Amino acid sequence: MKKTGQEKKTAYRAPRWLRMLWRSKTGLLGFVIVAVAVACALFAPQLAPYDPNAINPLNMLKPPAFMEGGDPAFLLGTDNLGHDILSRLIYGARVSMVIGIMSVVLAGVIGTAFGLLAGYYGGVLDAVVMRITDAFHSIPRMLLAMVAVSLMKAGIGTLVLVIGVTGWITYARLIRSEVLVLKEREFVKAAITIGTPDYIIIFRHILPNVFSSFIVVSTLAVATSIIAETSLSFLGLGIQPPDISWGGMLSAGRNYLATNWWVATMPGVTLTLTVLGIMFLGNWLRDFMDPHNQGLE
Amino acid sequence: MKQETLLQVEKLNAYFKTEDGRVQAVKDVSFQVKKGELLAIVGESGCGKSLTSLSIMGLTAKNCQVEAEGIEFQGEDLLKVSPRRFRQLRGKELAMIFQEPLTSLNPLFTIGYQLMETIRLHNPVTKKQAREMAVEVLKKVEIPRPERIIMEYPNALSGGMRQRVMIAMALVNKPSLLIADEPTTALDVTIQAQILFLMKHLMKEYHTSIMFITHDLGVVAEVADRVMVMYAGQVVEEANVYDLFNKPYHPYTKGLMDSTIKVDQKEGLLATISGTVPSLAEMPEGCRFHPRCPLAGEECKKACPELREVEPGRKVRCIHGNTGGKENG
Amino acid sequence: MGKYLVKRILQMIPVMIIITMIIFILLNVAGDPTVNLLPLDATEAEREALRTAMGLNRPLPVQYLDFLKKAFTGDFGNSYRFNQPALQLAMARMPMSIQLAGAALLFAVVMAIPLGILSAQFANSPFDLIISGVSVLGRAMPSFWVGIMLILLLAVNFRLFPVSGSGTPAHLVLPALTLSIQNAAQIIPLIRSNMLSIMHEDYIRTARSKGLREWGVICIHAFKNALVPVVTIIALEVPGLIGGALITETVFAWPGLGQFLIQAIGNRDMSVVQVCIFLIAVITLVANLIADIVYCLIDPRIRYE
Repeated sequence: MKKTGQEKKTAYRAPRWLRMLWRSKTGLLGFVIVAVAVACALFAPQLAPYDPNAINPLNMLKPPAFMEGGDPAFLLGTDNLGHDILSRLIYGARVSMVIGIMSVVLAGVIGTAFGLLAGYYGGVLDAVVMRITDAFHSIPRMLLAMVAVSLMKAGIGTLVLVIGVTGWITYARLIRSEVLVLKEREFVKAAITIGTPDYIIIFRHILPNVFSSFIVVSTLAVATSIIAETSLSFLGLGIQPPDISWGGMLSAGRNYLATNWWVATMPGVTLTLTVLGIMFLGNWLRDFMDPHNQGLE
Repeated sequence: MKQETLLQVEKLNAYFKTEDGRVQAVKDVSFQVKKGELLAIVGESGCGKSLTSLSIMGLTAKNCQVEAEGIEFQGEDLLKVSPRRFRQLRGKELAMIFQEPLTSLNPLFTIGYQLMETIRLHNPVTKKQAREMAVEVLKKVEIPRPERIIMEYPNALSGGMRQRVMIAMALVNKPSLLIADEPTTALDVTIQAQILFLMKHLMKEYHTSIMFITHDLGVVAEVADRVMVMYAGQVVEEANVYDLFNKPYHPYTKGLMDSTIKVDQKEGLLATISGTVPSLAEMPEGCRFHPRCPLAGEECKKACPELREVEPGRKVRCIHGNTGGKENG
Repeated sequence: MGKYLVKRILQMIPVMIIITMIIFILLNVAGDPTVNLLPLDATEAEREALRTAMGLNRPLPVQYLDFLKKAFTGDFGNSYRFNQPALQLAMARMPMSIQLAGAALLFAVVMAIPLGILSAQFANSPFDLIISGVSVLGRAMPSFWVGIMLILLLAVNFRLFPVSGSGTPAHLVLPALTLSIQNAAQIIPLIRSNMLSIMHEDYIRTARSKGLREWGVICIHAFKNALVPVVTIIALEVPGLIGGALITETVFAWPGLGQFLIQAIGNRDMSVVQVCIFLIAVITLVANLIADIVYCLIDPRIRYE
């Protein structure tokens, strides 16, 4: 008996990240929340109990199932048009996750490119890029995004573009400072000395070493992007019906605050939980990727 | 020469609370400081000398526990006085200067503010009077242009100057006891000599006793009246400065002296004490010095020897008693 | 310090020029302004005529230089909706926005400082855990959601404050609180961790050795040191604060620059939009400059560098 138990142990050992995740309470919570959000985004049509845009005049403003007068058929209640709130939240996750992730990818590519060039080549290029980031930093991101979105055709593509383009400075500054440190490291100096072409140094020696900070910042940036998207949609500048955004749901629910609080509260809580989950996951990733933490488990 | 006792420490024990339980850093340390004398406490880093001084000041870290049969200072037991009374003593009767002059002054307050704060905490004086006192005491520690210096921030001063400010701050209220924790270690050798001379000089002028903590026997020879040698949290030898340097009894003291460069050194190699100070969690059985001791025998591994008075005013913690030095010399 | 400030102000010039470029590109590349100025059934010839009249057919660099020249004299054109100089209109809305942002900053600092200090002092106690949890939550909630919750709780349920509008100090409370919560949530953990590391500094031991009482040590010697990085963070947060203000003003119908701007965006009143972006950027730059000066005043170490 004892022997087989031991064999089992050696035969399967969970990977390091899973064991560390299991040990971190907030990290695990974050992971679960993000996993649920991603699942909702991927399988919205399968998961949602109703068509999110089905108008149902008979079931307008039904309270959530756990409240008095609630209908178990509408778990989180319905809004002023009789939409099932749960279904709308699930479809809203799709919009939020797509925009959150895509815009971060865009911002990451632009910002990393500028950060690499500025940090690696220095000089005038660096000075110019840094002044541009200063300028971008002086204009609130929301302001730029609001104006840009209003000038273009509203939609998911526009939002990805606008939120991505206004988010690049974080990456540019981060990558630049990392590159400046890496440039002083022996292996990069050695590569420069023996005449390795710049693009090989950048792609082989520098990029892999900025990867972990890139991932950590990106995770947290997804949270910021989701907030930006929902804010724009809340103002009526972002996602337009029939597409569903939590921000738009909140905006619609505002008018029913005094009488039907759940219409605004459900998307608000969902949004907060999602952002919280991403932040927890990001903080856990930061600890996990910290080289000082490698030995610890 | 009969002197009055100023500070009497009886069986001081200090512990650190760690994740693996409690470890003892200072064990049964007893000593006294007499009025007008300079007692030097010598030992390698980690031997508990700093912790001993911080325990007396009541400034140990939160994870540190201090117990003692008594820490009697001018007739009051410092372990029993109220926090309020302790604060009145601290900075007034009991003062302390620290090892790092660069970090011991608050970088965001002027020298004048930090001095006047000490003055006004313990004296009912106006701002103007406090300022005059501050200038006065800066003159005493031989700082040039004190009227200007009190407007400066610590970063404008060199390490030596900052240590002078620290001394001024400690002495401004004319304390009975000044605890100096490695006050010259961080300084250049020339500055070191100036500061030592200054302290010795001011000690007489202010009628202050000094507890001087150092790892440097050269400094001890220069300033001390009496010396207490500590090893691994225990007192291993106590003597007046002449006796100690003439005839060190404890093998550890002897080892310390041999590892100090002397002017008349003939051989090329400097002697060292083999091994390192044991960690608090892994104290050796028996005499704590035996793993590093050239004289260690079987009995040294069994029981920790008592601190015995071998001659009047001379104590040693070694079963080889007063032969320790001779046999090895 | 004087030299440092001069250098700092000189650095602002290229940044300002880049900002004007961003505004110019944003407004000229992103859309054809004539679309909104003419009726939908306007002919292509009519559009062309308007473009020529507005100087839109000139090469972009020429247009930009013209824009820059006018911007320098404060001429951003007239608001086509109000038919008044855009700068004047925007400036008239500024005091309300500054009032809101100032109150929010004040709330944030007044909340964050004692909470941060107490959290550090009682680190890992239930109090600390609650405060840490609340500040994590504060960072996770977008300002418009915070605003709505505050309305639901304090205005609808308890009827303590008006739901929206302006005019009395009571009107200011909810929007300012909304804006301040996120800021406070950023500052509290910062003060906490600063205080925790500062309490181990040698000069804290010195202060204790003088016979200063523990709260004196904390509030005088530790606090001033903990404040230094907070000033930097507050300056960094200014764009976020203004960005949040844009939305908060809408949520509470607060008649400031943000609300004005959002209306202008809705009306495609581009002169007003330009002016608003420009003004907000200037405010941010000035706020950063002020933060740098405060930083210098608090920390003498900067002055010796």
